Amino acid sequence: MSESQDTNLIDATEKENTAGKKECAGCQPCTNCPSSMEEQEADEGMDRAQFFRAAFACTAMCWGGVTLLPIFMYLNPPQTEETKSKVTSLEVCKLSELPKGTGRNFRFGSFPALVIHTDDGQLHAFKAICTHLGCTVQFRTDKQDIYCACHGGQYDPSTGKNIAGPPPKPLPALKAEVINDMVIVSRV
Amino acid sequence: MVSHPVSPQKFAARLNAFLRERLPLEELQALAEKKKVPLHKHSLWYYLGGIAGMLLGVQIVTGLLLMVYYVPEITSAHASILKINTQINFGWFVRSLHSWGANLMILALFVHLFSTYFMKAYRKPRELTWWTGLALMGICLGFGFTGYLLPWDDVSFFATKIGLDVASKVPFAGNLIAYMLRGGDAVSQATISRFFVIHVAILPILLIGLLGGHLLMVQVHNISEPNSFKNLEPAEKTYEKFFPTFFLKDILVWILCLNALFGLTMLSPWSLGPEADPFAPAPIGIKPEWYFLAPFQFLKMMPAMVGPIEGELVGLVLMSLVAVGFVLVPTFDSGASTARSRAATWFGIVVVISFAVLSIWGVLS
Amino acid sequence: MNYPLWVVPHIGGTWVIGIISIIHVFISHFAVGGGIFLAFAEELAYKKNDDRIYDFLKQHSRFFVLLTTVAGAITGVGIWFSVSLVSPDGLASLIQSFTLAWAEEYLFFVAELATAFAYYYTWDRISKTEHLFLARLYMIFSIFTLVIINGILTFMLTPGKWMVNHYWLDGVFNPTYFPSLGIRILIMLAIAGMYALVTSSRIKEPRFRAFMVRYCAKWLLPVFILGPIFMVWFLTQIPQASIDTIFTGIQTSGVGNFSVLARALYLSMVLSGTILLFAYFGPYLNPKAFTFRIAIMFMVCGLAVTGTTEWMREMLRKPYVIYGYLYSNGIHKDDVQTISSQGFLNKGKWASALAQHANSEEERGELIFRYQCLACHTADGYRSMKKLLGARDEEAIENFLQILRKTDPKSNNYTGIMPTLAVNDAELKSLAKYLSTINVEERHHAEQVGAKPDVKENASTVQ
Repeated sequence: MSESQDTNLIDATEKENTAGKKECAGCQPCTNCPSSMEEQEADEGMDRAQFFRAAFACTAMCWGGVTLLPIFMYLNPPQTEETKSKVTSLEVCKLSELPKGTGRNFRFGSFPALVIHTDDGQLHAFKAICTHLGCTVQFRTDKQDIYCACHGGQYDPSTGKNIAGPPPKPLPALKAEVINDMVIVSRV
Repeated sequence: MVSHPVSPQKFAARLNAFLRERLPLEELQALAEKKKVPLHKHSLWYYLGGIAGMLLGVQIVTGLLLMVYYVPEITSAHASILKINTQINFGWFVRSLHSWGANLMILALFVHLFSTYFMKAYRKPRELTWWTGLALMGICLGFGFTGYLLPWDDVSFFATKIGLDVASKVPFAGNLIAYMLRGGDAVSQATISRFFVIHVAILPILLIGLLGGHLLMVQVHNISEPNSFKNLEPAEKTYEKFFPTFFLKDILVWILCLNALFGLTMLSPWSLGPEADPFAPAPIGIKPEWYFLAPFQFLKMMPAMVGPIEGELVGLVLMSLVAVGFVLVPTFDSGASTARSRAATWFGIVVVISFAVLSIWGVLS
Repeated sequence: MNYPLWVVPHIGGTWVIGIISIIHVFISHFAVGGGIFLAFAEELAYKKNDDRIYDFLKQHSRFFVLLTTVAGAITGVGIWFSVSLVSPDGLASLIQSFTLAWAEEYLFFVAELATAFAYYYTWDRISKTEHLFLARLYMIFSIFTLVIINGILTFMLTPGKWMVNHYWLDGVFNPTYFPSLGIRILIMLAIAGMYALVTSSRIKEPRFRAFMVRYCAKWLLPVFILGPIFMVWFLTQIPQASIDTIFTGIQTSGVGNFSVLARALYLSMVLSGTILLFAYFGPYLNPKAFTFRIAIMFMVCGLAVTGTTEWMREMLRKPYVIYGYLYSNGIHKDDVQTISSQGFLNKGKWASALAQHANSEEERGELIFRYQCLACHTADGYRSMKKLLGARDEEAIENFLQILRKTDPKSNNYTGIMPTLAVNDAELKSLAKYLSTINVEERHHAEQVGAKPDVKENASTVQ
């Protein structure tokens, strides 16, 4: 009794070993299981060994994965002062520097913007990002329209409406006004 | 056993077969399994190369991460490191790992170099392994020297200045080398740019090439056996397979070393001095990194003039002779003569002791 | 203040308690975890009827019983001695609140010792069934010692309902009782596994050794699977203020955006992660090459994690012995108001007696320093006042003490880290006078150097 139990114990250990090795080498795991009366118990031992192997490997991987978290947090850029403080209004230039029929690109916080002094004497300001694929648009003095050089999109200079080319939406408008002879652009 | 249509085992087997048909996996496996590690009382030293390699991995990962935020520009360099230290999540951690890892790696390399030296592993046919190893050591010291400048704090500025001034003392080409490295007459933006390129591009390329050669050579020649082991009866010699037995033990040692590295990093994060000011007086008690302390102290010890020659030059020549000694040792001590073998050992002992004494003296002074 | 105090120079009384406690924590975790291990391993031996496992257990239990009974008892008593000398007022409070619990703890401890000896000396003398019963009995008693002491330890951090009704069972079964009990048992299993790895690495017969090494490695699994769950549970139960202490307190500036506590937390997480990897690549995948030396190093790592984590738990409680009730210097939080109007030195029995013999203002100041600061600080060693005071003169120190006296967190940002200073105006002046005698050298040095930055500090960054 004692003897057979004993071999069982060792067998189980050995099998765990060989199973582990075989998997490393990538062969079919243990196809030649002994077909004696011990088979069932040996199989049980195998399953349990497999369970422990999987459990060990999984928990080890989870803990290893945790170490990737600091790397992710490291690469995640910090909130800088620039992105935190949102510009709400901006002095662009003197009105005299922006004659009728011209436009001017400028930086409004984190995005480019465009202010246009149309021939009828009104000021219009837009977010200067083309609604098609995000290029920066410009005011064409010769054609008197807002134009995107990337794919030829065109917008109306007084409303920002998309009038030709691929842009699907009008440009978002900003508020433009003149205070003390200064062109001031602010969020709507 | 119930076999599922897509059991993990079957999937693994299929993947394996796929790779085997397309890659020389058998040959690689045979090569990996060919290497065996002799078991004796000096086996402990076989771990050092692996430790240095693991630390190199840490350096590569942390170095890449640091490069994401570091700006090699004279007015921003210090600020960018400060930002890494204070604003970026775990930035202090990555930077401290890089600094501590660099120091531990050089320490591991020194121990590796001297242990192989005293075990006479440089003898035929392993001369090439030895020489590539020496070159790798030089490259790593170069990493240390160039990397030290990049944070642009006061000590790094002066350490670089002094280091390059010493280099300019080398006869004939010294001035030119120092001038080229410095990118001008003073340590400035040009120096930062040059050191940055050397640190992140040139040295890594050299390192990877040489390291590949070094490892290939170890693989070809198998692990060196010290004489005490080689002279045993074949029956008394015991070995273990490098793969997987020794390799798994290697991993354990790596984990222990990583723990030590993490412990140092957490308990004593690397600090950052005030920004370098080229016109401020050198901070009192300025010293180079510990591994340059011995040569630094040696040069300090030299009198101003030895006969008609400048003292520093004499010091440099003496130190170069030591380096030449290490390079030439395989041809001098090929194992044929006991007297020469003993002479090589004594040479090594004298170098180690004087290195240690000079370093300690440097720390204390 | 009601009892005499033991002044330990340089390392401070805290570290006397600290060192003894850390050793005791290791040994007591060995004892309980080992008790569970012995019972389960003996059951395995009994089922397999394998003499080799029995032989192994006999070897294993010899050093185990010696260590847990002798060293465990000595360090346990050592904690009582050192705490009663260093922090008598805090201890008195704990004894009075939990007299019955302490008595039970003692009972279980004696029962544990008795079964441990019975277990060890009855190997081969009683039947295997009876011996297995003894092993299980030992396991139960040792777990019960944990059941009680865990209540008191967790009570100190989260007194819970006890704060309202002062009912001792509410104190024992406080909000962090169960999560903490879970974590501790899991850690105990892991430590027991690590210790058994050391003993099983000495087995001669290779195949049996491989079997035992692998068996022991499995004992490390539970803490890694269930540990995080209990840990999150634990963290949700502790006061928000002490979580804030982890991430902002103590030493945030200079070294980056992590406090020393957060770094310790992260270190303990990293170390536990590497222990799991170690267990996987070492004893589990490669049991044949798992040598005694590696096993020892492995255990050192494990103990380092346990030590770091325990230290963190202790730090979480800052600045209290009983959170929100009793400060670490033995002063009740509610008494601070009365003391600051009526004075400290006429309050406690022993302190007031000593105060009558204090002739100069400095001596009175020193007396206050001993009773209110020494619980955490020393003059020139651990958390050295000399260093912390820097080059402040008496006036600057006085102004600083005025801040420490305030109870409002807005005007005193040390409230989460240090007890409120409980003194009246005259005593505050005496304390400042005494403190200004500690840092004479620093002031002198600063005068010589002038306003230049500290040269020593710069030199140290060169390293």
